[in-house]
Amino acid sequence: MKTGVLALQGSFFDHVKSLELINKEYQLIKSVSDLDNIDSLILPGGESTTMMKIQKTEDLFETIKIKINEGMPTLGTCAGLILLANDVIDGQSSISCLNTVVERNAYGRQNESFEGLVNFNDNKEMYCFIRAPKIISYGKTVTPIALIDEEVVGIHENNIVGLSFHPELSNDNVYLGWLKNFLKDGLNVRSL
Amino acid sequence: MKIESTFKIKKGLAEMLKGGVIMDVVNAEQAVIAEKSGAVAVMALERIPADIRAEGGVARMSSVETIQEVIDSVTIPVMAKARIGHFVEAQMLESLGIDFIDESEVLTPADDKNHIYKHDIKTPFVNGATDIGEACRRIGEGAAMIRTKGEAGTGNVIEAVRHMRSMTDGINKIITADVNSLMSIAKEIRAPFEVVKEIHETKKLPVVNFAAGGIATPADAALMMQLGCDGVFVGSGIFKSGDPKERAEAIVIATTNFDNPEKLVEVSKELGEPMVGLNIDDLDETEKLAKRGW
Repeated sequence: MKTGVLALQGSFFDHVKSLELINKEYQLIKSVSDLDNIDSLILPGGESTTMMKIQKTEDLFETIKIKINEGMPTLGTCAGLILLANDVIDGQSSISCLNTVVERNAYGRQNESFEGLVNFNDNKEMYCFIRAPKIISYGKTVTPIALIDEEVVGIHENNIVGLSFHPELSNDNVYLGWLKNFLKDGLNVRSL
Repeated sequence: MKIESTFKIKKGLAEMLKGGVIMDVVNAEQAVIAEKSGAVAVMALERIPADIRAEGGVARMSSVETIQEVIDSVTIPVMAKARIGHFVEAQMLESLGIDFIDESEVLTPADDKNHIYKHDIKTPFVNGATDIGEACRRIGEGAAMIRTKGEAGTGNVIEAVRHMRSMTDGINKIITADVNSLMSIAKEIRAPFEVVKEIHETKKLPVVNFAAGGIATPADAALMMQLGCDGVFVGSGIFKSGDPKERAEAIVIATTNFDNPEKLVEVSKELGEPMVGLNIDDLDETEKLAKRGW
């Protein structure tokens, strides 16, 4: 079985590179029929408004939501986190399956974008935050798994992980090892 | 610990724009239409290229008011054009909080020898290029994204195709070259050696490369994507057409589904009139914008 990578727009080839590094086969997802042979899913960074517009032609997100609710391990980074969130401040919720409120571009515009030292599953790495969304709040069933200083920048709920940063632009060994495990069963190795 | 505006961060925004359409807009109203149609970013400029071509005169950075108005009207990234070599326009755009600066040949150049030294400005830059040598020179100066120049404001895709093919040929030549001949290639194409070496080692251009200049239809956008570019800029093609909103949406969907002819047929139905095109051969050499840049 393959990992599906949403390929409507954005940095999906960077996630493909991560999958190649862990020897996982992938399927680019552009339409409903692409979802048939996948056992896990990645929603990449990019522009969430653009992805929402493009998916509408065949309501791709409705089918994706069913797959996620059935328990498919799903990772969303940056715009991918926005797509997964139940609530988006100053924006539109779309797939809505992760119990969190996020705010788009809440760290500022591009000039305020930064590389930050993130504690992700007890390992510290520099990761890119690019016009990143902020995790404003999350429900009781949600576990924080990534922090920058004291601020939560990554969360896990059931089979879903949402990160406001871009581990796929770094591809460090700890992330790749985590990704390999997570895509298998949707579980997070350890929590903070 | 946080470090702002590293080259990785500058390049990173361009990575996020991949597979998308960046649309030229001259005011907030057009910016909103572009965002609603699925643009990944808008490019604020004083006049769209077709009008600059028709009206002549000196084309400069947009007014501060227009740029501010566009920034306030949309949530997607906002780009704006500065004249080639006009580092003060670039400093002003940085101060305005623009997300990407296009040092563009579409505007009247401010310096006939030098481009802006882009490393010193926090905001990332995109620059036009007609071949790999020009792309490497701009990357050497700090560009975080490249676009083919094409011939803006013509609605004629031939120059964009020519530049994209020339870029691909140039990259392939560097990749397949013997390591001993890299310096000689750098000399021949007038490119910084370090950038040539990086292309050889990583087997790709170090930054994202979009297509621009003359894209007017969904088919044009898909053509450029199939030729290997990472995304497209559409200037006059949208707001000089009969039905800008329909056309903008169609070009967005075509850019994602560039390798799916059935989808391309579907989105190309009932689009209204495309912009009127110009034959490149009918242009006087002095009218060719792609010649600007050194």
